[in-house]
Amino acid sequence: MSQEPRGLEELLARFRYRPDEESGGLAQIPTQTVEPDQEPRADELQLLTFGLGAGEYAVALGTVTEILRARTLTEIPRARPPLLGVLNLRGTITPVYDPSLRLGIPSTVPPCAGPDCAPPPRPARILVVRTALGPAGVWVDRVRGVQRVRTGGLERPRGGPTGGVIGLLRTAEGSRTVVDPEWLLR
Amino acid sequence: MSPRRDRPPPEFASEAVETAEALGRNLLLLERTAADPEPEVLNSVFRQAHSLKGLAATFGQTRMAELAHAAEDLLDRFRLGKARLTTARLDLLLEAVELFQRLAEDPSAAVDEAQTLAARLSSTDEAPERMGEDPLERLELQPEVRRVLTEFEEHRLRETLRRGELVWAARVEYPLDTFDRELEQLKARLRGVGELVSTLPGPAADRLDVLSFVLLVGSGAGEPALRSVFAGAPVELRPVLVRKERPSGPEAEGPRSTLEGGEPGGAARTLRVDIARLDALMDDVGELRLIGETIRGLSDARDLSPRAWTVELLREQRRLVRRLDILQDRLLQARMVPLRPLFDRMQRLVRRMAREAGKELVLETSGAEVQIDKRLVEELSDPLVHLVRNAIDHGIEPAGLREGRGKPRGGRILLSAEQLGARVVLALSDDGGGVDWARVREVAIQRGLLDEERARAASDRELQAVLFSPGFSTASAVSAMSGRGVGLDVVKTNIAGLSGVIDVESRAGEGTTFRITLPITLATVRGLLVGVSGRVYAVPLSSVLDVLSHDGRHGVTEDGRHMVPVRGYNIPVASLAETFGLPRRSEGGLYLVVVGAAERRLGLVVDALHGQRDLVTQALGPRLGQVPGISGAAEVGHHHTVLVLDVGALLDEVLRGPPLLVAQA
Repeated sequence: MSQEPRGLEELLARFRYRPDEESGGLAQIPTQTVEPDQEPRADELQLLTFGLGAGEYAVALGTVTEILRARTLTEIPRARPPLLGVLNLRGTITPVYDPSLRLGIPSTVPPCAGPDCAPPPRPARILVVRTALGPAGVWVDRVRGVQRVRTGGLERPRGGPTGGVIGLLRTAEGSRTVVDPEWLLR
Repeated sequence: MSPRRDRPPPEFASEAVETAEALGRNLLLLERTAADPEPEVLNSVFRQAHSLKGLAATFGQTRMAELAHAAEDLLDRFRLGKARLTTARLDLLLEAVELFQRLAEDPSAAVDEAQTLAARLSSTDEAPERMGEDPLERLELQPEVRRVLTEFEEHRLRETLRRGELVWAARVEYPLDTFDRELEQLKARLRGVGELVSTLPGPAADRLDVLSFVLLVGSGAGEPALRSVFAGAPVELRPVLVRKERPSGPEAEGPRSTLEGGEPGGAARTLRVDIARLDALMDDVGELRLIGETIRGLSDARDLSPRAWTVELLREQRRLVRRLDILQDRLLQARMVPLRPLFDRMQRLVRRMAREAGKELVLETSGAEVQIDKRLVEELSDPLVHLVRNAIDHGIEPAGLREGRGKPRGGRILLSAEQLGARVVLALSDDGGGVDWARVREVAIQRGLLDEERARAASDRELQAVLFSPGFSTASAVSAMSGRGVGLDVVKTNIAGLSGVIDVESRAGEGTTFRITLPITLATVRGLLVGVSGRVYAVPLSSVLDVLSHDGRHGVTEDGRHMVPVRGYNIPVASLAETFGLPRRSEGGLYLVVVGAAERRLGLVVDALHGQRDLVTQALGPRLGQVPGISGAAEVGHHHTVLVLDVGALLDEVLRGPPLLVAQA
């Protein structure tokens, strides 16, 4: 209808366009289905494990509804960390957060909103978490996979859970902190 | 019986709601002429109840049909001069109107209420009008029982209640040949224990040789004493319950009406469209098919030269775009509905809330014929209810106080709508006590929303922003506040979500006016895309008054405000980049986008203009809540989401100071 000035498309393309979004229809959005192949046993916990910075973390699989390939976000003016920006998740504006602050580690999230950001690193993902206040995203550097653990195999923090840390999982490769994803958003 | 199976088709809901609304409107009309009701109005009210009954029965909605029947019955008696039109009865009928609407949207919603109300409607037999309420109204008698009572029996029941005794209903069965003697003996035995008020035929007995009766007995004795009097005869004995609440209190119990923010039901999601409009849409589609055919023909046309082919294709493309424009316009037109139903609902609400608050007031409306997008009407309901409630609870003073202030006893609320181009301005004014700005200032300091210095310096108008800020409108603020502030932040967020702007103007002692400026349609918001430091934002075109090129120069007022002369006036300007704290990345030209709401103007300095777009806006969602300066987001292309500016908030911020809250994590 209205004649589109060339400038806009170019401008938009410069800071938002990403080749891997081109084919990003509905089917492509979850880059990984997180459906368990078996019903979990009562004393079992299914964890989605991910890496951030030098650390390894996990959240309960059930809390994550979707895993998105990290994409350039729309910047919210005057937003404060840990809010990174928003993305449009099939019509629902979804805020995305940087969990580093909460985890007390230096942030490894590159600028990902606004005109100055580079395309996000390929392994970066956004975990979409369902919360009472609607969906929210957690930016992680990489997703490792799904891990089943015995509830007993989880080391609980001494004196009950502190903050959002649910427990510690020790494996041959090292230890992994299991956190409450909602806590990461605060 | 599952409620799902009950669910009537949406056409039923929308028609029922419309009929109920018309009925409500006429009832209010009746009230104004209660002393001498116009036969014509009475007749049409009666007919509306009648057609509602028919409609409900057709769709198997028994509850609604029964209720409509009871209403129709009562109206018939008004019509035939058999019953007097009283405020209490109008209350009942208006209550029925509310129930009709709820039942239309969810047939399983208020089944008990519908029954009770139908009973109460049916029970408003001509009884001596007394001061105050009729105790009989509180008696839970079945309507069919209530209907057959004689005036004397009613009188005896009233006396029973007045003595503080109970009315008992007993079902008894006596042999056919001795029943008269048995009844006489029972009466005798009752003496001293209670009084047999009425003997009514009971439900058919199992055996042919017995007769069944329902006896209404007034008694102050307990159940054991009564049982012994009946000597094992009653099949059933139960007290007739007396409701505690006043029957005229329409919101006595149960879920509140849909006005208080119920689930949007079937009717809200459906829309009745003039068949002529649909025909026109069909024509458009036919035309589009034709264009499609032509284009298909072109793909086969091998004899055309490439040049001629391109020309043909371009011509068809232009035809296509033109027709799509028309189609869009027509679709938008089809979504438009008048504000009248919304205004009517507010009328009923005001009537009820005024009664509850014990205040005398009238709601006057103007501009009910103004048409806006159907979805806007729905979304406007909650904020308007909020504002009306505020006006009644906190705005309008009690009659005594008003007299002391030299105002008429009765308060006046004016709800008006006016279309100005692509905008609709809704105004809600009351002539109440106005906002106590001094108190607002105090609370703002207490709650740490403003530091003392800034609060003292703030003008009344500057304090408006405080009134709408989330930190202000908490429960404790409300109780501490004699003025307003109940959830105004929510109202503001709702309005901003509709790409609208809300504004308040208030003078202590004189009243308050809330002004809501909205685009007339929500399906799409026309937006001007502007570039700021490499970002793109959308400004709702309904708030854009002017766009000028700008040389970056401005004057500075004494208080540090930047001003630029625009068409003979000095208007304040602000750089959007600075306001949003963005790094400067000038891309050459500067533009001034003049935005405004009510009488306020502001020039926003931007780097680039990227044309206009029809935008489908989305709210930012509850997690982000109120983001200063941003009302929502819209997708302008594949994965390109731009934020839509909240012009009202920007006006507040630039003209009154930095925002009280910054986007929170």
